[in-house]
Amino acid sequence: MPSIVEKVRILGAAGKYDICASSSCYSQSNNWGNNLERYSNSQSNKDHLHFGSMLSGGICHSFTPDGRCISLFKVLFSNVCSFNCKYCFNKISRKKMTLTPDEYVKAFMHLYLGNYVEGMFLSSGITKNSDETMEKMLEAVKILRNQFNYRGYIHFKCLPGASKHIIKDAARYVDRMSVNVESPTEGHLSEIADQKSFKTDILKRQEWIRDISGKKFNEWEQIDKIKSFDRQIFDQTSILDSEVKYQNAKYIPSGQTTQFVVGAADETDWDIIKRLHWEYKAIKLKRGYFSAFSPIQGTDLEKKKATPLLREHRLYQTDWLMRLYNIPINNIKEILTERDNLPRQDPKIFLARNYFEDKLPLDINNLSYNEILKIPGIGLTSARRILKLRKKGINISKRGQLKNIGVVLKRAEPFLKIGNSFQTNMTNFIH
Amino acid sequence: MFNMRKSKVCFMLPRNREFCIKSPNEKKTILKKLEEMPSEILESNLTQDAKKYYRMARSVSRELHYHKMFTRLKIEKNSILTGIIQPEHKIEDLILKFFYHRFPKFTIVLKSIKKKRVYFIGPIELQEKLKRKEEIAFKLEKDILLGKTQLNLASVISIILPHSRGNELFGGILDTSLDLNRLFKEFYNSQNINSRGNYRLFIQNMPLKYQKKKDMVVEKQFHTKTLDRFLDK
Repeated sequence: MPSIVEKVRILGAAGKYDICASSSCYSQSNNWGNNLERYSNSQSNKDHLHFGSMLSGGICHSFTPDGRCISLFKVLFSNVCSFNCKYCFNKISRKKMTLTPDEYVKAFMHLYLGNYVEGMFLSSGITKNSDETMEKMLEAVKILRNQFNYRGYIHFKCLPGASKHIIKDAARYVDRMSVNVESPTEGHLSEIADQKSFKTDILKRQEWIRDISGKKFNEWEQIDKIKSFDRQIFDQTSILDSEVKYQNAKYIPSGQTTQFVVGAADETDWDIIKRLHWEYKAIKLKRGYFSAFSPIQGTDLEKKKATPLLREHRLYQTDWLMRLYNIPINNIKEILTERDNLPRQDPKIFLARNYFEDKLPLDINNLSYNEILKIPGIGLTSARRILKLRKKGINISKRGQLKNIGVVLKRAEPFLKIGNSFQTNMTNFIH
Repeated sequence: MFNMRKSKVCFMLPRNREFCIKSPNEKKTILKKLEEMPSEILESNLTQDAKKYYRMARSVSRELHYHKMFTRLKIEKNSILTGIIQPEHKIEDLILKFFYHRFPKFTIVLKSIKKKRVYFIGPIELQEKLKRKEEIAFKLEKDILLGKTQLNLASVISIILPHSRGNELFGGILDTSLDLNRLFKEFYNSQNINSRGNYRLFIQNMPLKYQKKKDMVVEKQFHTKTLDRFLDK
């Protein structure tokens, strides 16, 4: 009988390829623990009968030599999987193991109390069917939340093909949920995981999570009455929480995320960007993650070339531009190469060249917030600071000012006119 | 660049080591200047003073964050969590409060190596017991005691032990004999993807000065270079 430590070693290795594992809640006040706290504050002496907390930014407790942070307890519940995905690590693992809910909770609690991890990331191979596996995973979550009053972060992976009532039950206990899209289109997914149906197993589940996400428990109750579906199941969960101690709580307060395996199915960057854009709009996704494909010995795709990590990096940069800098997807389409992939350099530089083509050099004191954001080397914080200073009547007239504000001058300078000076380039001489 | 609001700068600055060793008059002048400084100027580091104060506050904030990240706690009997800290700035109470907020059922005892003091947060009954042994500075919060003592870690634990809440809190799920370092080592090693190796990013995220700390047993293995590593290549 393998010990817990042995199981953690093997199932941890099986879970390392899941990368959507940041611990940040969407906002400080918008997490599971705080929802609960608001209620318990009104109860006289319940304040201290819990453990665990969350920070909006999250905390990384360590870093592995590949540079990624260790913030969540990312160990699979089981590496037994009835699916046959061509890229997956579970397919080749010789030692098949499953943690019991108690073992999972025990291992997690020790690491959490030792301040080694910031929260839990619960995922699993699909043992017999998705529902049965998810029920067991959920049991571990319920032990933590109900028995030990854990208020920290839980990211719950929804398995493809899971039933609606289990998703709804899980949504009550977790901070974030995710379904891995893996590939941008149905055709691409069938190339690497032919047992998964893109529309029903994945997109449909994402839609269900979207419908529940962010709603208050009471609100959901009303919707439930109107629609009157799953009535019986809802009643059962109500009985479980008969004290209604999560009165003000929201379902999945940190929303849902997803993950793409980049390069496994010969998809282009544009395919991924289009799908991601659709997910942000239609599914209300909080963010997407990318995992560059690397071939694993023994799998069907072992001879396929590994995707360069730079491609993953460029996709993250583009995702940031779409999500936080509000760059329209059409602008991104204009900078793609002939093969519909992103350029090898920073996409923001290409976007800026396209946008400011005839307007260079720019006077930063006359630009709007959205225009400032489009200049390479200037981020959200720096742009906000520049505008704040402008409101105070202080204009930017020296390089030092920009440097102190936090602008990366090396990137921003070719686009800017600071005071009366601006950087010359080859075109100045040609003309 | 990390964004810090004026209110946070005002909160963090007085805890800076450089600030603490200044004379009372100098401290007053700095705080007055800081108060009068517009937030836009301070947050954008536009003057020399703003730059200096922001840097000082940032240093405190960074150290606090690193302690939240890398302080490893040991689970002792009767729900006591112990750990070792080595802050340069005056942030021991903030570290204690962070852990208290996270683990309110536990008594938390932290040993500061540099200042040779033991800081603790626990039930109010400890006040009487500890007062006799050594001079302590107390700060009370409801029924909770936050203090420091010159006693060593083992003595403090022996005093606290009878007053702690006991292991029944988690229904016996906690196993004090479980080697947390080993469990973490196995977990940590399992998470590394060799094909994605990026030592430069690792060092950037985890500077050597933090790897050298006592708690970083597992991470330290990647700091040590052996001859084999070069010969293999």
